[in-house]
Amino acid sequence: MRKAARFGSVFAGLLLALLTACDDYPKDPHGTLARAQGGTIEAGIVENAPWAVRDNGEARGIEVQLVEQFASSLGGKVEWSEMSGPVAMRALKTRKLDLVVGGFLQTDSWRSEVGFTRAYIPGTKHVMAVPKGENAWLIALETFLRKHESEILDLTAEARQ
Amino acid sequence: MRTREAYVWPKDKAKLRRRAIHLEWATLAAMSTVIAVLYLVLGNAQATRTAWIEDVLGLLPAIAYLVAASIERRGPTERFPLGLYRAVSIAYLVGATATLLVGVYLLAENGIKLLEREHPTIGLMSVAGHDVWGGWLMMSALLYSIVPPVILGHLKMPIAREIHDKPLMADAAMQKADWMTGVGAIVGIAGVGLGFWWADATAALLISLDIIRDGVRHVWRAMGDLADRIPHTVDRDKLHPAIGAATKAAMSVYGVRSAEVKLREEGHLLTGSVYAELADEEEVIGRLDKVRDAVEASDWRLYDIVVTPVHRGKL
Repeated sequence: MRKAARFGSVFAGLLLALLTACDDYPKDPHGTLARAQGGTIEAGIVENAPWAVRDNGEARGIEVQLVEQFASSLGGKVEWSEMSGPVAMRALKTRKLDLVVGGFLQTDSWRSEVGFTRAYIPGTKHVMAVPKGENAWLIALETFLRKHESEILDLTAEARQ
Repeated sequence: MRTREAYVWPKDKAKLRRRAIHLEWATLAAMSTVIAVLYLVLGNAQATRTAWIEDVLGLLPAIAYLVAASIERRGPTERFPLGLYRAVSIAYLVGATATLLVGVYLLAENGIKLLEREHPTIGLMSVAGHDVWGGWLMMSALLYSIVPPVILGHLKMPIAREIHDKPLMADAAMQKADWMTGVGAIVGIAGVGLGFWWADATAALLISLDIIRDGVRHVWRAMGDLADRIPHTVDRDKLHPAIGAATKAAMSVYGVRSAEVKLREEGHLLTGSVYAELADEEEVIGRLDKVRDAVEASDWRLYDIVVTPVHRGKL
């Protein structure tokens, strides 16, 4: 019982600490979101039309467009680099990239190695990839995608035609 | 072969025994809801998966308990002339092993997570159309998950002491493991939210050590009981007071000069022999019967005692 009491007090203390520090919660362990605000997002493209395309050195595609909008909503810009899937995922794991697009699906086998957003187009399994554990960054992106859901639906309908 | 007479529980103890069985059914029911709730909130998240697996393994002692209870009830048969009272000791070993297994699993799983510098990734989840950080949902589910084990463990302990029920004690230890991993995961996820990626695995790792200690202790005792270790009490693991009580009862029979007992545990019960040195050779059989009755009456757990007369000076 004494142990339980000690446990309880540590627990209550932690909760209290949380409640007093409630803004910017959850935090990024490595500060990705803070760097992206007014800065540069290092993003990877894994070629997969119509989601992510490299066209004469220029990044295009639905997801590319979305990430550009996301960056400007944070007052920053995007630095794109094209690479293969495995290389991109390795770069995410070592946090050399902040984000990778390439028409990934929730069910892709990368899902245990990098962080995926939740499926951001209703009725599909499309996701974007971020470094693991950067939870503030992840939910900033997810919140942005949710806010622009109807535009995204329009974009994908357009692409399908 | 001759079969043993079936053991009849004293009324008050039988009532507690029924209560223990009800508590175990309640454990299965309550922990199933916990497992379901955690599963729903779990998604793909690693962070709560450990707590979930822990709760699934945590059902093992309760299941073993109920199986043993139904077997024990059968009493002696032609095939099992000594009855199946030991099923309870086997359930103790199963429950203790499950606790140890849970501890080792938590240690290994979270040790690997720390070595691989696994950063728990928890994004948004949608509740009734609102987006909230998944961590909050997980913490609420985990908060629920610690309520049943705290209550059940608290109810089981005193009964386990009253009816000398070691598997019930092992199950209470598992409930302690259940709620401690729940609290650990809450602290861990809260820490992850503060940006400490290692918080979840570290909390679970520390708790695993406590669970392993409990598990080892109970496995050791359970093996001892099955190997006919001298009878011990349920909680403090002291020598059982029935040993002294039985010796005293045998000595107090008229015409007994000296007596010694040799007892072992058989599930809830204690059984074995009494060696009695009689003062003279009058009425030997009648006196030996009296010794047996006196010993069996000295503690409710004493059952099927055999009395052996010994020569003077052999005790």
